[in-house]
Amino acid sequence: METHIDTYRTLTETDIRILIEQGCKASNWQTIKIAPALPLENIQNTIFQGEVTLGDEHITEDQSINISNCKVVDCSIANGVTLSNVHLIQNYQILENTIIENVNSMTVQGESAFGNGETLDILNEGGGRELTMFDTLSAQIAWLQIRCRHNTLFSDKLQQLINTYVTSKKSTRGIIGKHVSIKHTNLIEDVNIGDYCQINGAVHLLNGTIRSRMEDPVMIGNGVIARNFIIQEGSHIYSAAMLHHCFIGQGVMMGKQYSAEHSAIFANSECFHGEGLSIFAGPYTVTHHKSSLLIAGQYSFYNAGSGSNQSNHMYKLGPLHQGIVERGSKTGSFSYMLWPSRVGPFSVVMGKHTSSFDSGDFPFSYITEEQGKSVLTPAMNLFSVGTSRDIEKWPNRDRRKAKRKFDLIHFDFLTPYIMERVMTARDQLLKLYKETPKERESVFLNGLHIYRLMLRTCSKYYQIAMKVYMGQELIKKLGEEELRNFAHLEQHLTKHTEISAKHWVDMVGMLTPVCQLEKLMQEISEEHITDLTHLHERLIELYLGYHEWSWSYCWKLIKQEHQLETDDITPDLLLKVITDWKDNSLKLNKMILTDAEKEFDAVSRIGYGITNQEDTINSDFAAVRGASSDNKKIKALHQEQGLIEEKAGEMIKLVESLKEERP
Amino acid sequence: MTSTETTERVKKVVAQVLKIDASEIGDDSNFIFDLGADSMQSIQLVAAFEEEFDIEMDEDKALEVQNIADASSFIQSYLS
Repeated sequence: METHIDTYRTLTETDIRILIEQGCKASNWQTIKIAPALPLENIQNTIFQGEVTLGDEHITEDQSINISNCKVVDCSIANGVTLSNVHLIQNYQILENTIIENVNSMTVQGESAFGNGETLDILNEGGGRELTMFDTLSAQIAWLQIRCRHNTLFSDKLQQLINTYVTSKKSTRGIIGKHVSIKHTNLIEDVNIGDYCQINGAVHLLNGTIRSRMEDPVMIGNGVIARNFIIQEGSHIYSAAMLHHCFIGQGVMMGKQYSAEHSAIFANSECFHGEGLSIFAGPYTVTHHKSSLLIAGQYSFYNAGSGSNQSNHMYKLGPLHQGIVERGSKTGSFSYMLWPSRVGPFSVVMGKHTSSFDSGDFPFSYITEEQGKSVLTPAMNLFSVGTSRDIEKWPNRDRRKAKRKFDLIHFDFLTPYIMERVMTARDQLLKLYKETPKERESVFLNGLHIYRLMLRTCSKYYQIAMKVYMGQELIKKLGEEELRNFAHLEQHLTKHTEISAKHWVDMVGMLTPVCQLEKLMQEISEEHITDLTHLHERLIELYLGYHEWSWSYCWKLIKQEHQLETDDITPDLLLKVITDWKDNSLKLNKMILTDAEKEFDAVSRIGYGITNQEDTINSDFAAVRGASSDNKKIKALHQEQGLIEEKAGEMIKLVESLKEERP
Repeated sequence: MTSTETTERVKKVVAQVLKIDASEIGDDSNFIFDLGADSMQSIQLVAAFEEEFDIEMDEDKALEVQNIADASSFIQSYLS
């Protein structure tokens, strides 16, 4: 809110007398300006210093300002504000209906950018991938800053855009938004606070911005210490969480003494109990347990089991190593990984891995430890019911309510980004199978052992994923429009498929073809993108372009897998893709179902019952867990079987009907 | 190949994959409860049987097989 000084008046002799009688003091009464209709009876025992403005021209009786037992220095205070027992508040503009009670000190000390422009040593603790944070930072802009260091011109130009924005945020006066509540808090220095924010019992907040909005307020709770930070809408930080040089995105939950340093934690992440150091925690990074240390890694859609641990230091040149844990992966209880390592998408890491490995090209893998060796079992996590549940739960757990969602997130499961790796893995496993003598128990690849017997089997599992993907995308495409005839179908399927979308990247949540990323980087390097608003808009364009580029990728894959040289589509081709989809989806679904039903087998009943009597065990299990047939997920999987058949039938019928009209 | 020969070869394969002594394996030994096979080893066993007998089995059905005798019969059905 801008204050319009001409609507204010200086205090009259009577006003000053009233205020003095109410225990107030001022270094200079003439520098205090008030709204003409401001009632003064609720201003008591307060010391005023410097330029202070109280209320505005539209003030009504029920919007009076209440100030008691405070020291107010160089502040403007809007209608309806309550300040009570604030030992010192200095250089703040306090907007309507805000309440500040029992606060030791709340000041802006000289010019501040309020956390904007602070640099975080992300991913590589030794430096070199510094992230400059600002209040509208998204996971994707962070990714561009952190991961695209190979292009120095681009990095420099991006930094310039950020620096310009950071400069615009500098001010000698802080803002506390409307309807903010700050209570029982010790120290707040150089912090901008957005509307409807609630701060209760924080210890120390220093140099930061809290973006809070009516529709998605931020809450800061007991014992929180935050220094050099930015917190975006809807996040809850509480229970003695400690942040030092941290960026917190939208809808993040953090508490129970979690401690984070030089870390950026993006949308819908959940951090409790443990520690994060130099982490680039993309959307949906979840670490709930004590003794979990995430360090120098990039994560997204990640779940850290209790005691998950990594190390970036080999006691040589310092903490220089980094790790990449790609989307959808998990680390089991007390798992350990030595960085540098890379975990491919949707994989599970169990055990202690004391050598570096790279499973980036093997999505859906189990990475286990056997007698000190790291063993890769490719594709096993494809048919885990856990993976299936994860895919469903992430979009449902998007807590962000702010109108502007900074992080751009593609929730799709089988995507070009995944399929590119699936294809590589499939081909590589088959090649290894052909080349490896039968006497060999395992092959060694990128720091990982793969049992020879698994090579061919796992390549078949990847083939299942590929057929499911091609069919699902084709069916989606066929359902987009009402197709009049076969020519229309051909035109619809091949439209825009000339776009090159061969290689893809996951910009921690957003999937895009490498060529589109390169184009964006070029636009920044050549200064066609002139500010961060423009950059955000371009990123949204990439986000929205996903489905078109994704189909372009898929169509090329269908052609490649069916040795189709041209875009000459035959009904037989389409029928084959649909039938393959049906067969493989049914198979995959059945495998997931089998995995889910294991949760009800004899092993799952261990510890149930108060005696070893089978009927007691089964009754106890039934009372607590219910029957597998009643389980929501299992029921859904059973229904899915029928839906697959139904959808395939519908699509086959569609193609058959259009086939007859083929010229 | 007789069923006895098939069973002996099944036991040999199981011993190799699960790294146990063949003498510990009985005709009615259950892969999971008696021999300790986990889900990944079960898949390896299917692959090993296919390789040993040069057959291509229905994997879903193969994974439903619980013990040595049933495995032997299941494989025998592909050989005959």
